[in-house]
Amino acid sequence: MQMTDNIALNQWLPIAYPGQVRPRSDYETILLGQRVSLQLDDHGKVSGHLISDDGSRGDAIPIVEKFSTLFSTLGDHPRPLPEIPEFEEDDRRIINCGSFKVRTSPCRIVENFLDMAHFSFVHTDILGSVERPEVLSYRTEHHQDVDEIWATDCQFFQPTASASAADSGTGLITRYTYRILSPFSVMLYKSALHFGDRLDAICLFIQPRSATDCFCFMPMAILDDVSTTTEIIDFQQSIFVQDSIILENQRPRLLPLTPSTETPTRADLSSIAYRRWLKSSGLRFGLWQSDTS
Amino acid sequence: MAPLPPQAIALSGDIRPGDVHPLHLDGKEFVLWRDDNEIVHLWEDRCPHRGMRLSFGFVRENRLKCLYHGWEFAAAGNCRKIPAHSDLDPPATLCANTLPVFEDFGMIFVGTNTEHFTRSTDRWHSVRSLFLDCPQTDGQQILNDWMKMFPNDSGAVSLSNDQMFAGASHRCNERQWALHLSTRHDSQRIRLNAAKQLVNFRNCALSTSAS
Repeated sequence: MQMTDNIALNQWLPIAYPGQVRPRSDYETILLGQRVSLQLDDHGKVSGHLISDDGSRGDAIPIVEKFSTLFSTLGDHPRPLPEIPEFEEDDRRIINCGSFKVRTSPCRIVENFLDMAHFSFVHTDILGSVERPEVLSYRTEHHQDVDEIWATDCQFFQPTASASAADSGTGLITRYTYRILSPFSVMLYKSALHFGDRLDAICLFIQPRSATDCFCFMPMAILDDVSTTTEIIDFQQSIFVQDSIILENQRPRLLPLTPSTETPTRADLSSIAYRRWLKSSGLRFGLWQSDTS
Repeated sequence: MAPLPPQAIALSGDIRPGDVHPLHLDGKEFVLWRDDNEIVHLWEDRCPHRGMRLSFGFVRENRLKCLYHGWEFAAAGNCRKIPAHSDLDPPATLCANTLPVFEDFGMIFVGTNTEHFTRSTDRWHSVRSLFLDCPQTDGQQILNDWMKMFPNDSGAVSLSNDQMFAGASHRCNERQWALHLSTRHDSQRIRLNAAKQLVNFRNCALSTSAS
């Protein structure tokens, strides 16, 4: 079925990592229910096409590479990709953590990424401790110039905040800033061990194959001259596996915006701001409506 | 609230204190759990906070604790603790969606207890619950035919002629029925034989429908 949600169509969506598209072989995937294929030419340039219902190659779709990820869009006037200057800094390591399949709404995935209150229970003894589950008050603000929602002054006690913190043993208060970059993408800044005030930048770009079937791309620009790339990827993947158990078992899978369906608390300030922002955007895709289930 | 006709959903002996089970009934998802005082509870399988299935949670200090954010729900369904805000007294309106349940014939029933149920102190034992992929047929009819049982006055349970076996069923979803068999026989040998008989009937039925 052709997807008609203009808000969802007019987004740049992650579609593959550059290395996934091989020479002389189409890379096929699905974007918002539409089958698409990517091709790599002899000059190393990636192009993309729709796949028609009869399997033949259809119209071209634009492909851009940013944050070492390939993005495409099915819309004519896509919302611009965000500016994340940390990806341009020479001493940072740009690492992709694979693409994870999660069978739920992209909006559920964004909301889980914003949530600190689950650290102690879902990522026990890694990103949180059951002895210190307190979420202190933080602020959210709407940056109107870029139309992003930010959550600032966030902090949480973490036993093992990152791969490089694994050996420190005692745990520390980690400071977070979150940016909601689009309806289907979000990022965070968190304190980097041994780098003073500088912050790791970790992104989550979501490719909705359908409203309840997503691939998640996690490019990171991080400060770490201790851990191997494998260690960093293993750390992020182990966190993500824990999250997916939650994400695939939330009901309904589509995100409800009506306050009577799900009751928030103070720790959910960023989720409340996200839901309000989604509601005002007019998006319907990925959201629970009273006439769907 | 209007009385809800009783409907068997599980065998009492299969849900022990501290157990938390997911349960499918007529296509809907529920969580069935037993507290430390041996009282059984049936709730909608979603936390009122962020919709996480409560059947992934666990029982601690007689409360059902959600896996996602550790919210704790007392036996009555009301939220008693939000760990992210230890100073907060959760409002009474913050509550899991609960359904009425009672036990009789060694089974757990959802619905309103009626005069047909004795809630007898006779010792009933679990034989076994069996799940059957048979969308078109009625689970209770299958059980009656297989085990030669007849519906009692409640209509929600069937009994053998000697009143020593009780059987009931529930529709899980459009693909599956659950059959529940219990007995008043103390002998473990008799219970094992009855369980084997039930499985044999199932295997015969499957091979007949496959041929």
